[in-house]
Amino acid sequence: MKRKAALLIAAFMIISLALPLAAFAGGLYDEASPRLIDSGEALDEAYAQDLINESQLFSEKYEMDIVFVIVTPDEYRDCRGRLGSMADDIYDAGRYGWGEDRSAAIVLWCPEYEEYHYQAYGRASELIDEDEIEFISERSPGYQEEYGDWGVLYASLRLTSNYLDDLSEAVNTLPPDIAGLLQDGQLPDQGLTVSEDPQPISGEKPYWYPENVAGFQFFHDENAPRVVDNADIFTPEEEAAIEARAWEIIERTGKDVVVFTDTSSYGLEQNVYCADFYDFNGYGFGPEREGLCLLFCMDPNDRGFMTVATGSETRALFTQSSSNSMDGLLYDYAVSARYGEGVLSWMDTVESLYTKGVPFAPDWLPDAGEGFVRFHRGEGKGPSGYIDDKAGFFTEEEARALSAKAERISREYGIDILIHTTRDSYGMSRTEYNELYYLYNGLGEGDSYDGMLLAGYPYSARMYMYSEGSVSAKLTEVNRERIEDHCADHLNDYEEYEAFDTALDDLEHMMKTGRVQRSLSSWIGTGALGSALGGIFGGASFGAAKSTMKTPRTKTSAREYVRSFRLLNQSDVFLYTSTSSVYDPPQRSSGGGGGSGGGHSSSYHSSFSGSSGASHSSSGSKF
Amino acid sequence: MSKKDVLEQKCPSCGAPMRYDAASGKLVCDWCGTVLDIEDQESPSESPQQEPEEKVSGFDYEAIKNQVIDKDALELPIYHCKSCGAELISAWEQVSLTCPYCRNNIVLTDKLAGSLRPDGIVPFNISSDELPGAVTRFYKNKKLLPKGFFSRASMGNVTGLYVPFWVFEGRLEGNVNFGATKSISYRQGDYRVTDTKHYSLSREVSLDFDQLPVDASERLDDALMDSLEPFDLRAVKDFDPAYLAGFAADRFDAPASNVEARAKQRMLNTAYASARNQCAGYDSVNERGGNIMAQVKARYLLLPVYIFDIIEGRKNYSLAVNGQSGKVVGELPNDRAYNLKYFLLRAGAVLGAFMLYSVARYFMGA
Repeated sequence: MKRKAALLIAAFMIISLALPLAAFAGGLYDEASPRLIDSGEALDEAYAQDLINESQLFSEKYEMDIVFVIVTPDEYRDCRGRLGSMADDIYDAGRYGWGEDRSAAIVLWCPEYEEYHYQAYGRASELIDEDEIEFISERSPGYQEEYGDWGVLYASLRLTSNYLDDLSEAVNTLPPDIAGLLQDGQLPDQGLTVSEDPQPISGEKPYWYPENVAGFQFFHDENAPRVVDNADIFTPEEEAAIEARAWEIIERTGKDVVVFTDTSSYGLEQNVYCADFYDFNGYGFGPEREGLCLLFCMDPNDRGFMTVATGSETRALFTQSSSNSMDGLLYDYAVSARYGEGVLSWMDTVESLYTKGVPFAPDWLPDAGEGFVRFHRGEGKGPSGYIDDKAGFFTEEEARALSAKAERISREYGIDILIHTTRDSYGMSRTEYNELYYLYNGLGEGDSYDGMLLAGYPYSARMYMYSEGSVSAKLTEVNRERIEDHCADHLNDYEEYEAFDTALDDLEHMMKTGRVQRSLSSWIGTGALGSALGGIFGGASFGAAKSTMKTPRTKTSAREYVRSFRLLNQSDVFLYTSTSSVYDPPQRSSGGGGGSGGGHSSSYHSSFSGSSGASHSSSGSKF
Repeated sequence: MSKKDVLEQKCPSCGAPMRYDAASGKLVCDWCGTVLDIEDQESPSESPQQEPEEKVSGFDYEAIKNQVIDKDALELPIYHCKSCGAELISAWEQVSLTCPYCRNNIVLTDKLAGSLRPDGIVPFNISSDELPGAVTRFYKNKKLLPKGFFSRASMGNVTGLYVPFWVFEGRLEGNVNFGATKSISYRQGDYRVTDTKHYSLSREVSLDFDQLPVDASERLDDALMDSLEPFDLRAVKDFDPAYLAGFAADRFDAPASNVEARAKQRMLNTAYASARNQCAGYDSVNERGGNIMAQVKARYLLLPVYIFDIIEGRKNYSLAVNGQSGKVVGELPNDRAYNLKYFLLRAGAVLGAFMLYSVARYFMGA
């Protein structure tokens, strides 16, 4: 009997010891470490317990630890606002994390300073990418107003779980090979999105909204109108013009363009609502349903426009830069309630985007995909000097003088020279614009297309240059800088003629000797630098020599004669703290997309999912 | 004038004056070559008229000063050279001199009697023959020495002099107070906030000092004498007038307040600096005074120094050499024009090289 009891006790002890060890080995987290750290007791007990319970459920479901920290003001100051470092310390000290790689998310929230930080570790850092962390970080603090500090932390948990659910669903619908990549934490480059928190429409739904979103099958409706003006912002004539223009673009490019207005977005984000309209009404051409959809939401409380791009080709064209330009154009019309005009102008940019790859393209830019054969503008005439003063910098006399000089240099050195001024680079960078201008306007002499383009823009103190062939070989970085330097002073003083005249002189000298002359001020600067270096060296040498010429001085210290030193007592008494503040706003990031153009602020999303689960890009603005 | 007693070291073989030889540490007769150990010498045949008074322990200048001959006295003492009978008048601080007539070395024993007797002496370790080499080494590598200085300069008369020093030991104890700050910066919304914490610090320290020499001769430059430090006081010997043979010697004449004050100030400066070093971990520390008590005592030693001038044209540059270690200190010529030329040559060379380089790069198209 006694032996049996001893065996039972021993078995019980072994099991009770082995279970936790097995738990560790199996990857379950250490329950001893708290999942809510609230040293300032900001939360009531009930809310605190709720978070702890949710954390445990979350961890068991997703095999990822999640820890909430409410940071007190003292703690915030002690860590000097570096919540990331604080998260690292907590993660290490608390030994949080699930599994061998200690997958975990640490959420820190300081209510007094309204500072939020989300940090992922281990496998969690591979699954939850930076865009998503940024999204959660932007969203969660917004819940404080209505739900308090508990709301901020709970929202972090919910958003994370929604994201992980979407990730899991996306895996389930993908072909097995891609699903495997995703489960390893790698996302394919395109076509796969992780959905934001889809917001189901509650209450009344728009007439076109399917009853069963989950079972929805994409279709194509050729007969669907390309203008749906539910908000009645267009006149009948405008509506007809827009419809006709849309079909023009569709026939020319094979990509769709849809304009949709409504008085509400039914509680959905405008980009999701616009995407749903496009997805659920059979729009788009080709297997990826290529096209753009423009929504005007005339909800008095949430007025704005949104452009949604669908399909990989369209989304590749609909970059942040292009969308900003297009939004800028539309904004100016929208604020003055010229909706019809604005949409028609916008459709021109759509056609340009589809055909030439940029929303605003110059006439000389060929359509994308068109075969372009390079040509010589001055075929049969030999090298020439040209002037194309679109910006109107020069008087007739100045233009003649510059043209004559350019022609002379051109003939002497066998190169084309073009002086080009313009107010618009059509949304391209000026460097890209100059290069394309040179290419598509047939500039350059001979097989190497030897030549130089000098370009000027209003209110710019920089002389832009593009060259090819023999000119390019001589236009070293040093020579380029010298030419820009020589021209900058003239351009700063709005002396455009003098600037281009100087540039031609420098070009001529460069073609003759291989280098651009240095200005006197440049030599003076070099002399000053040399003098400074000489002064430093001379001073250092003199100082070293002078140090050996020490004259006798009376001694003020007896340090060499100290036989013993003792610190008998010390006291450090804290008196008070003084505080000073300096206004220093940090650079704000655009949070996944955002830019400005035409005085408005655009929000750009490179990737999001509509209610159908399809991927889109979007850009839009409130007005 | 009253005649005073003197002491002369005579060669027992030939009766010529003997001198203390720094190289051998013995008394040497330059006439017959006799060499005698100082420790073997008997007491002087003529003892001073004054009875040696009880030594005053510690630095009790009040007791000692009564022994000082008043330098403003109308009557100056007359000394009688025993070799040639010449009557000699010395400066009131001199305790040893050479008869200008017969070159006999004379020690003025009345100025070394009783409480005026030094507690010890550090004999010369460097002979005067070694001085030219020491001076050459001193001037070597002094790049700002005007060109031709060596060829134009000459060494003046060298005086081997025992300089009176008070060598202090003491203890300093007390409090030093400081104000200190620590700052942290952090971001709060659009503001950068700096919190500065202010502290009051107190450090109670105790320092023991030993063998701090302060020269007690008014006529000698304090800066020059301070610069000769350190002296190795382990070589201190019991005072014997024989060490003075062949050298001049002075006795203390600097007022007590000066000497003690200088010593205490050096010790205090060190005490405050040591206390400040105990205030680590703060962004700024400012001293706010303190209360340190000093207990000091001193002994009177004679330390060996060579003094001479380097004469260059119309200018004299005073040099001193530590007669124990050979350390040379002194004035150095300061030729502003030469200094400027030195600086400009070097600066100009770098400027020239840089411009040459820039021009070369320009023509190479860089």
